[in-house]
Amino acid sequence: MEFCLVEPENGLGAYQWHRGFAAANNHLFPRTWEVYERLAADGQVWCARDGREFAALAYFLLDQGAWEVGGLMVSTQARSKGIASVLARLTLGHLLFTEDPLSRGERVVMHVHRENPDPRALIERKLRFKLAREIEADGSEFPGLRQNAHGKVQGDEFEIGIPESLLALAEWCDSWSGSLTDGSAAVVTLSPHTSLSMWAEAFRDMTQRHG
Amino acid sequence: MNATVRKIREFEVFDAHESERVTALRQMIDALRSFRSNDDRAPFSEFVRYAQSLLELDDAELSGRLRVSRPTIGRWVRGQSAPHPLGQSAVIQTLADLAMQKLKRHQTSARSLAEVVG
Repeated sequence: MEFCLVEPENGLGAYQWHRGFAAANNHLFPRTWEVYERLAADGQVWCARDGREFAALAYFLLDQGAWEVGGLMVSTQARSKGIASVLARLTLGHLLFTEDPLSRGERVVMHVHRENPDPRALIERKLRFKLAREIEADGSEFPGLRQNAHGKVQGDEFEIGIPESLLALAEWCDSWSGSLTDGSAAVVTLSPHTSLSMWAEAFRDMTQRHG
Repeated sequence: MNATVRKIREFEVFDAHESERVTALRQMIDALRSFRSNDDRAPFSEFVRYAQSLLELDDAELSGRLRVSRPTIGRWVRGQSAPHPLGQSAVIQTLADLAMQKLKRHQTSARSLAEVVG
């Protein structure tokens, strides 16, 4: 399995994968082609792929002054291998390392539909994000997401924990074996002259600067 | 003016431009190698802008080479963000690599032309 940024020329394939996945799950917000195309063309989508087949996707974006890591989806066939946690960590780590948002006091958040239990253990226990606030929006703002009896979409916003999230990420970068939980090998393509151990050093440094 | 003289004159003009480019690339490589990252985003932003211009890469091309997002390049160039200092060093090292590759291409093409003319 390879973990890397989706190349702009593979943006359409990534969008189709995202769209098909989100359409079958009313806890996941299906981004429009216009939005997803821009994310992919701009190099803001990370993927796990086996050859040319996507196994998982996640993106990061700057929205109204806060950085969001979102769109985390893993194909049914690729589950139970720990792919989601690797991909979420890489997407978050890439954002922290290349943009250093904490140095400017910018927030880093993740959103989860109130009735979606799946990613909460990953977000709270592995990424060590903290529940920041509850969100309620009119259903018309988020077509495709499950609404409550009053036509509202309810969700939770989690925010990066400082220093907990940084330390957890640094520890993972230092200790990850490069294998998935089923023992199969995983290859991570980072920026040139960059390594996970360099990331770990940077995240520990961030705890000193912003902790 | 016969064909040989015209060819030599063209080469001299080309060679003058090439010399300027090669000198600029060498100066940039020296500058990039002397870069020391710190918390001030301004020097990093200047270096990326300078290198991007001399390497003749747009934001999309540069983001592909550095494997970062295109908006990230824009924010770096505008001084709105910068990587963590360790990341700054990695970016600058990659820019120096790209400058070295471009320098070699210029030197190779100049040699090839000189052989044709000579």
